[in-house]
Amino acid sequence: MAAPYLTPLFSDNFTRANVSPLTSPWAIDTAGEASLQIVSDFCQNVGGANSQGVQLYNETLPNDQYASATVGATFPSAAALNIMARTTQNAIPFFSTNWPGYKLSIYGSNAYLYCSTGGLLGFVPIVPGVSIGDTFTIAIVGTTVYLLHNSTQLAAVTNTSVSSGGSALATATDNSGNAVKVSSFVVGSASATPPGDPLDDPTLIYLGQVVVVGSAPAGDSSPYLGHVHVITNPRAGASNPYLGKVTVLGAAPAGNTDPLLGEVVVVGSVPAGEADVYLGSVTET
Amino acid sequence: MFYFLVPTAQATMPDGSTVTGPKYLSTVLNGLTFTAIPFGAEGLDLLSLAASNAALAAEPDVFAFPTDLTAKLLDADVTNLTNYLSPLNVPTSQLAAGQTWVAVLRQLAQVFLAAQYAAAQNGGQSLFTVTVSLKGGKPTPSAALVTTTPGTFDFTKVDQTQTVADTLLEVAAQFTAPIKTLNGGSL
Repeated sequence: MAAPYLTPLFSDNFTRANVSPLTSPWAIDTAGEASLQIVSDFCQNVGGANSQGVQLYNETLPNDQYASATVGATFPSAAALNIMARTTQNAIPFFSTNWPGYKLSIYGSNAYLYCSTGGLLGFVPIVPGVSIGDTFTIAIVGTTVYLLHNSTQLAAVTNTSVSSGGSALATATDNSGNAVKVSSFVVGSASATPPGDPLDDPTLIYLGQVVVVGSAPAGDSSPYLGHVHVITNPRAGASNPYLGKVTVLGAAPAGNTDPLLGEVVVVGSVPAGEADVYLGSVTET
Repeated sequence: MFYFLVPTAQATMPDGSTVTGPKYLSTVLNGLTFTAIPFGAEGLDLLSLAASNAALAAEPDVFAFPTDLTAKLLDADVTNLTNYLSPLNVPTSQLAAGQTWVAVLRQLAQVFLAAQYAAAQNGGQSLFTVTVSLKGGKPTPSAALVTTTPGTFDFTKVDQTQTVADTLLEVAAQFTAPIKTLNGGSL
């Protein structure tokens, strides 16, 4: 099972002075329920035994989004951690009925996936149980809802009920007052495919236009070079052939006219199995 | 993958919240990993389990799909499934002998997804009891259903004189992506 690709956009590690409730971008829902607080650099709900708290994390997210929470302390066996995505507040009490959106609930050593329309979407036991440092994630890409544990996908299910919204965090204490303590909360964008090649970023240095002139040798097709990005090394995982490194010089060497395209370093030999590369000739425009 | 149609029921979850979930959650499904595709707000789940479950299959209000989903429906299968689905307002006119079970499952899942979308757009209400008027004894789409905001599904071009079931069948075909179930499975 391929997990979705997650790109963090906003986060809170709760490493600051104790505060109750959490302040902006955290917000209390309009139903006026109990809130969250920071105690000794952990987030937990306000209140004692059998208490619950929830707050919205009011950062704008794309529709394909995720929300993650990391467990910061021993997880009580009868307490709950709830992470919401594509959620909106509409004055429905979180703990009394179905909160709008999608919810991942960790209770003891079990994970539940919910939707406000239709109810329970999935159940997965956490094996061997919840440990300090574990991260739980709910991600939605298009109409697929994902449940992840430490970046491993535990479940994915199609659902079409909710198409947009933001994130929220809720926790509940057990009947002895033991609280779920969260050490970080991260939200961002989610994708079923790898994020775009960073080298396709149009804001990167544009070297210039490369025009291939002349003609390719017999038997070779005319190459299209496209535009050239300046990089210092081949990207990790890039397959051969690697053309080499293009170095932009600060000034043209003596005897050369400006503008100078740069210096093209071609690797010493063609990788095994690859056809000989014909570059054509390159001129400035 | 093992598929079941299971009625839903209200359940109190460990954190005290009340949710809708598959019936038998605390009995024969207790502790079992599953994913569910609800039939909107209509009280039925398409459940996928990692293993066969004779106890669940034996429940009188559960329909268990066969292990071999490439097998084809016989006339008796069509009758049995129709008799199960009709009282639950699930469309059945698409069922035919000779279809594979996996084709039937995908059509049902598409219908369930269409019902989810429409229900969510109409306040999470049942399409049959709240947003639908009755004409000639057959539930037909109300204005609320037909004007459901187009998105994953587009209900705006459906014929308001046809039944809700036919509407769901027609619109359900708009969902062409793989439908995710348990353990990376899809329909």
